[in-house]
Amino acid sequence: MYDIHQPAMPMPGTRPAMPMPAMPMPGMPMPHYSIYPLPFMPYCVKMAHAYVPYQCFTNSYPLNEALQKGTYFPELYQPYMPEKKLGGLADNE
Amino acid sequence: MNDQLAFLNRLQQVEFALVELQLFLDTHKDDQRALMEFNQYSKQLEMLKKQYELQYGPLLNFGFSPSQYPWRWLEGPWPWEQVF
Repeated sequence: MYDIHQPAMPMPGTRPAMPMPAMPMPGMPMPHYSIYPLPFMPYCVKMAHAYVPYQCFTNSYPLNEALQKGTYFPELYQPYMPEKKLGGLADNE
Repeated sequence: MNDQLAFLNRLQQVEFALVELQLFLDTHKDDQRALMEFNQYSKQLEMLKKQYELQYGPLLNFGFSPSQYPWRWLEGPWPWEQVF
């Protein structure tokens, strides 16, 4: 199991799979290392492993909009849109 | 939407924000801003509930909400009679 608390040191002579920190997806918040104990993504991601980015609190919807959309966090608002190919991201994301 | 439904809707909005912040805090226990918002909305919810119950009667039964005279639990509209 990859330990996300401890940045993995690449083996001598090998290069990390990706530069650190990992590039966030468009619309995703940048990591806040100062207040969060975990990075947004592991420092050195391995190919063919699945990761869940660590959520950071950046902004929030007004309360009426949050109830209507089903989430308080804009980065989690991903309504299912089968006609779109980009993971169903909303127009405004 | 009448005043009572608008009030109920406002209660639901605050309760929903608190569900979201609770779930977030479960995995981000050191996030001071989230905690501050949680406590702020928690206080707001308490006030809204008190105010709602004074105007429209108890939200909960079996002693979790006080009632004025006469016993207000029987007053409608019942939840299944609400049209949102």
